[in-house]
Amino acid sequence: MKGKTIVITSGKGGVGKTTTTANIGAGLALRGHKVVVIDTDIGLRNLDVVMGLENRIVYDLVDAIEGRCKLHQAMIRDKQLPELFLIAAAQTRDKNCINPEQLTDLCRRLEEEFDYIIVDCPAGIEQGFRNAIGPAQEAIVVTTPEVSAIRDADRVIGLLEASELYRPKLIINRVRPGMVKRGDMLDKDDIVELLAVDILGMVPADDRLITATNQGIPVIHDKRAPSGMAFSRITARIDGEDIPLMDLEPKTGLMNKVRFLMGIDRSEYTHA
Amino acid sequence: MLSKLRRPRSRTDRRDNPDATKSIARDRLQSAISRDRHDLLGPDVVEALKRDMLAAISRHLEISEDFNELEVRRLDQSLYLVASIRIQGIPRLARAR
Ligand SMILES: Nc1ncnc2c1ncn2[C@@H]1O[C@H](COP(=O)(O)OP(=O)(O)OP(=O)(O)O)[C@@H](O)[C@H]1O
Ligand SMILES: [Mg+2]
Repeated sequence: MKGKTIVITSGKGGVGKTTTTANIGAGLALRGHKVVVIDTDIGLRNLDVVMGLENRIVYDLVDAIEGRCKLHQAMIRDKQLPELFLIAAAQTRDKNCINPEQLTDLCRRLEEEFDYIIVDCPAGIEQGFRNAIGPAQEAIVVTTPEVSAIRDADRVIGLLEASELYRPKLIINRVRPGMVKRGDMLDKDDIVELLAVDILGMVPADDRLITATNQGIPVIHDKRAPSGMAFSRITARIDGEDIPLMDLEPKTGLMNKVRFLMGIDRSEYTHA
Repeated sequence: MLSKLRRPRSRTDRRDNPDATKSIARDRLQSAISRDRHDLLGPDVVEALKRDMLAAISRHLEISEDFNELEVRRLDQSLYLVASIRIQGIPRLARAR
């Protein structure tokens, strides 16, 4: 077996890299693949809590790299999906304690056994970024529809291409269709034109994502969450399915408005 | 009242909303991104381009080795490749017959 390593990166912090990693990882496992997700945000680990696995960590990425444990001992099996594993970041070290070659070696070993290795990159463009993109054969750039995030995405796309990761794909997260419709938020066409990249999908800003994250369950497991549906579609595209890109529509319809006002349904949007 | 009922989406469906802020965002981004790309354009890229261009030109014209300038300049939102190359002579073959 020869797996594929994909890095999830952004430049700007807080745009949804870790959320995206957890959901794409779960999504690919739901489609029957063997998947490892790796948190490379050494010193600021988060992927473990987003996946609800924080209490199961014994060994971490740096332990595996420095040989304090066997590679499989640092792999934590997911609660829901037996074919999904997490390698957590070390919390007490910093980004300079590993280098891109070490992470690349580790991923090459994992590729023998797994279909997909998804690498969650830290914010910024320094050592942590260099480490995370080192092993990648493909890159996904996450942005939000805001000026600063898009500008940073452009910078990161330039750096990826300089490292021979050509044609990275874009995910636009936290889209608010109502604002797009009013002309108060950049839409996908604007962003794609500015960045000159292919788009992999859009994810709406979604309260259900926050409640899912509160419970340590990736929102892709929530069949009624618009963001979860968006991640399912994105995962299918990564897996080679040709699914057309749909515009996110604000919910209209009287009943939906009533539900929203009554607090029964707190998501503003229909589909992804 | 009636017209409101009939067109319930008229408030949100303002394609030409005069207060829409996204065009401001787009213009600012365009300018910031073009500036970043300019600032980050590697001097080695410009040097390589200069070498290739001079080689191509000297197949048609005699040009001096020095006094050749090539740079990328930014004016308003756009980048321009500005070249200043001194022609020393026009070879007989290049003259109009
Ligand atoms: N589509 C969304 N709707 C609502 N909340 C979201 C969405 N995407 C992300 N969030 C929230 O935004 C916050 C930041 O997300 P996340 O941690 O995934 O970003 P990140 O890019 O990994 O951040 P960092 O750069 O710090 O690593 C989290 O609290 C997450 O729950
Ligand atoms: Mg993160």
